[in-house]
Amino acid sequence: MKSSFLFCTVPVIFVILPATGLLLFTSGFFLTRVAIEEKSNRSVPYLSNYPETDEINFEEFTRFNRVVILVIDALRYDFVKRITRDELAIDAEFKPYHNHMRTITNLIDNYPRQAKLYKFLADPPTNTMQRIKGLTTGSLPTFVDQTSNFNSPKITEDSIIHQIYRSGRKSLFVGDDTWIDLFPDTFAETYPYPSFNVRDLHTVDAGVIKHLPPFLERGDWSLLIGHFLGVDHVGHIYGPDHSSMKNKLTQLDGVINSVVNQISDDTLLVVLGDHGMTETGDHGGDTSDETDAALFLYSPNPIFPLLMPSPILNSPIISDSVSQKNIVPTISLLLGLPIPYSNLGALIPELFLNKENPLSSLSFLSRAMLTNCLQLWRCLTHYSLLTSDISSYDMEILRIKIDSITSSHQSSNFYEINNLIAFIEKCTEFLNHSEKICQSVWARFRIERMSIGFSILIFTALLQYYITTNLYQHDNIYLGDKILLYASISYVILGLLLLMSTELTYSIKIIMVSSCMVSMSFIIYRIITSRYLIYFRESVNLFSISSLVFSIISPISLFSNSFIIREDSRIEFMLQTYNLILLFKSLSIWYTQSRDKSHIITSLFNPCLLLSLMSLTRLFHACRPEQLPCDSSIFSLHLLNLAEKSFISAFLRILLSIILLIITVDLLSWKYQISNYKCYSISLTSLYVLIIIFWLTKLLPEPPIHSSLISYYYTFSPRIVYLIAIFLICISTWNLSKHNTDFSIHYSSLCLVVWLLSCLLVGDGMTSSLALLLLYQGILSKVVSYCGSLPLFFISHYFFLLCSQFYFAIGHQFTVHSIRYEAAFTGFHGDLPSFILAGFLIGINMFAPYICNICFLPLFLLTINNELKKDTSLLQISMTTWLHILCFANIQVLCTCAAAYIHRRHLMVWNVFAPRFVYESVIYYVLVVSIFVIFSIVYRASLQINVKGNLLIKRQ
Amino acid sequence: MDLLLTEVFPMITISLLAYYFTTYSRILTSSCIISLSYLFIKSLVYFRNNSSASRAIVVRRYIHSLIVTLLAIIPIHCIFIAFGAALFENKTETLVLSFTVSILTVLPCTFSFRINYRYFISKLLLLELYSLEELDLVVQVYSVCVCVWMSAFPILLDWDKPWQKWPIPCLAGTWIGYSCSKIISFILHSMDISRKFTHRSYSLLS
Repeated sequence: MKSSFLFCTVPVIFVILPATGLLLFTSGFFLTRVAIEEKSNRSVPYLSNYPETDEINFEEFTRFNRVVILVIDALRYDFVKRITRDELAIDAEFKPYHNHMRTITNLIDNYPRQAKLYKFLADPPTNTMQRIKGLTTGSLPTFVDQTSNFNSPKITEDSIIHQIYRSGRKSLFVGDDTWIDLFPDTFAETYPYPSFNVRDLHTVDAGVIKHLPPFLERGDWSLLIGHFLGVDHVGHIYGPDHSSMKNKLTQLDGVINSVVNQISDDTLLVVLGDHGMTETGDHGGDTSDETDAALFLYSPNPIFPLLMPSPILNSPIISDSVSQKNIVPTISLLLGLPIPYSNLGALIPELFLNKENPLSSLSFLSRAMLTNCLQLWRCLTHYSLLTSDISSYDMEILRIKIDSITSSHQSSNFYEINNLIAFIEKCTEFLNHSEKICQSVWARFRIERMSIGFSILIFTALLQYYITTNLYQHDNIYLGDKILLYASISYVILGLLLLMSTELTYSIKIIMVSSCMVSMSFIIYRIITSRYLIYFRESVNLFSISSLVFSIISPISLFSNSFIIREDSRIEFMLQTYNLILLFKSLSIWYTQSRDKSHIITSLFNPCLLLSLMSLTRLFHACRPEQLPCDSSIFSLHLLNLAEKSFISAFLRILLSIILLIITVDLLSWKYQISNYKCYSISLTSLYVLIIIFWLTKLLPEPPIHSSLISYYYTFSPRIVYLIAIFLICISTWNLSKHNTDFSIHYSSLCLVVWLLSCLLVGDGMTSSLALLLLYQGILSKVVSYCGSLPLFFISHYFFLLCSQFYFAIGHQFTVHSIRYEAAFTGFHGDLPSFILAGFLIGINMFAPYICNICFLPLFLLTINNELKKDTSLLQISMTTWLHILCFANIQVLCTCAAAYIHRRHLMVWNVFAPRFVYESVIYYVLVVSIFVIFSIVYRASLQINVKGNLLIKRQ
Repeated sequence: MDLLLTEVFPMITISLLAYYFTTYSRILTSSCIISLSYLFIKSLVYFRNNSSASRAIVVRRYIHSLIVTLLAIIPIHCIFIAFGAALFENKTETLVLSFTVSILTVLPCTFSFRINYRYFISKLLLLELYSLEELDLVVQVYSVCVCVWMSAFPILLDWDKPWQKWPIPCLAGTWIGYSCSKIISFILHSMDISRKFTHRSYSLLS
């Protein structure tokens, strides 16, 4: 293909198209929300033009002194509701979960004024942590709540727990330890139990059962929360349709019975499920099985009115289903507390109607409703100031409604039932309308966006495959290729347009689908008829077969959570298979070429060395929480931590790193004759000396110098390293573009600088691993050149797997926890000039193997005597390999994306699939950026070497 | 009679023994016993086939084969460790596995091929095969290796089944591979491919 064509298409296909797809997908997948950290307080005004509301007296609403909340995780509505024969479908049997909560159903039958069962509608995402947030703050939590602290899931918004804490009362907790992560310091007393092991059905429940009775006897608290996990765990393991579910529900029924007998008259018992479960026992999504939980209210004193005021009975105000947000304002007011600031829920009207006569009941309810409306309006106006998620049109409608509410409150005569009812209906309408608006903003996966983003990614993968395989195949551009280009660009524009418009019309969907179909069928046709496939068919050998099989297996394995969790083992396994194949190949080469006994050592020794070095990388692995039991390597510990445990091992570790650092740099300088250039060798030496000094300063005790100098004690050496590194990179790049000889000297010194920078940021422990990477590459180049012609596809895939393998081997995992924030402080003392710089440093710390591999790839290709066509240049081969690697990365992105899409209701989506997807996309763009930089450097050099200006440098 | 002794009898014995020893705790022992019985049957066949040759030579070669088979356990064990088996824990289990693999792959080769590493390379890697028996052997070696390789994947899954414990899937893989090789050989025999064996190699590595 012509170079100008390539220069146009490659950036579009490898950068812009995937970016569009990813942006679209993430905008549908990760719902974001800004958390408001303001706390409700009697002094926070509701409406500036409505001063009377400042005098709202919350004590007026007090009905209870104590509330007991028993959260039964995944308690679906039909687990509790009495199901009769008639309600079942014909021929259907009673399920194991039907009719076991006898206490509740009996109470409802016998004491209708004291007990009531509601359908408790959860807002998706129906995951426990998000639900707990929703049940305590009254907001609509999304997966990514933007808060001021990124590290802990602690709730910074106002919540009912915070309100109790601020009013000086006590709240107690026993059960699932998720609550402790969310509220680390607001409970007076806690007994958390780990929720991690799904297979353990009883530990948490037994703990709650043990601690509840003493708590109930004490009575010095206002809120008692017990969280049972057994039902959820039964669902996850066996599904709801299993006899264990019956046992579990019967056990919990007994607990509820004893609590009912034990509570005092001023106590409200709330039994609720935070979400339901599907027939397979999963949850997280928005089907009715998942969202319909149960809510049961009971008090020894009558709480519900004897007779509903007749006008209300027929109005839509009273309903048997309640949104989960609604529990927050209800309980806050019933305890005489202000409603939490960011609550979006509406109170449950029935609980505010138990007064002597209908008039007083209704006026009581109307006051409570007004409080609720004003609080909600305050929250929404605050939110709309922060972001533009809520459209100004919606806000205007809400403003009109709240204005009419306040004006009618000021003007109407509230001694007439009809006025009161009209007022209450107005309030209800306002609350319902704002709830709808909020749900459309926060609580929905946007399936259209996700699928369009996904289809763009598929399209991209096909285009990338096409471009990569035809890269240097022919010089003519067919008309079809131009059409491809235009199709891709129009696709991008369409995608961007869709990104801007919020709703999709039917016609746009049709255009999208048809254009997608046309272009895809076209590309598939071109791929089938392309020469590359024929080439592939002709050269069937173990290498092409194995690399083809692996390049198919490894993306597919990303659909399974266990394969993602044990991805380090999987990649090591594949690489070892490659090594074994290389061993066989070199043995057969030896047999066909020499059959000499003395040569068998070299043919056998190097592949075996590869096998054993690859096994050595296991020493550096860190553990995911899911991989337990497993010991993280001592190399991943912080140096000072290790020194505290045993100084000797810390010392030995740092000694090993120093030796490996010096040996690697000197060996490579000697190999590529860098020492010919004094400038390079001196600065490289000073670089590693400074890095060693930096490590030693961390190990040695702080010197007794003046405090302002102390910061420089830790930062001076990394800063000088940065300066020298930038200087060296500039010099070598300039040399590469000026001098037409010694490509390998300048280029290898550039690579070494990058490697040394990664060593500095990766830290002393993992430097050994990076040195192992270079050693491994050196031996690999020997083996590959001994084996003769290997398909480039194989080499690219080998390198791609090598990148991932060494990602694990510098102690990282694809989890949020494994990000090492301390890397941002190498050379800076907590006063980082910008977040971009911090992100850059952390990025190098994480993706050092990827960057190093991409840099060293041209050197690797120089050293192997690849038997591709004689007229190909280094630039061509490296470009093809890089693009192959990008293709593999993009297919991985596609598959992680699809896995996140398919498993969006899976138990582990937020622990396993979503982080994997994010990491894979970041890796893709790290690869793109580093390839772009290195390509432009090599390209400049190639311009110098070949005056004609083709994309060629003759290989040395 | 020949087919009965070499193919059908081992298969029946193996399946009977495997059925008898399905208890989880005895699975390693049973694997060893099955391997040894395989060894025993192979030895019987070996002595019967070579009954015409000199007694001393036959016995010497037999012992030689056994030694090679036992020695081959070491590299096979190393390869398992390289592929992810633990270095220090579960040593016995890995050893049993490598013993089984060695019995199923190296032993029949030593009985049939010349005991020489060059010969092994030429037969196994370059596939310079001249007879149907050699083809059968190579099929057996490859199918056992591929099945052991593939059976490592279920170990990673988080189903928490007792049979996922190392090295049970791989042990099963060896025997599945062995059975597959018999089926493949049968198909190859019935296809009458012996005509195609002109003196050329079919190397996959070229």
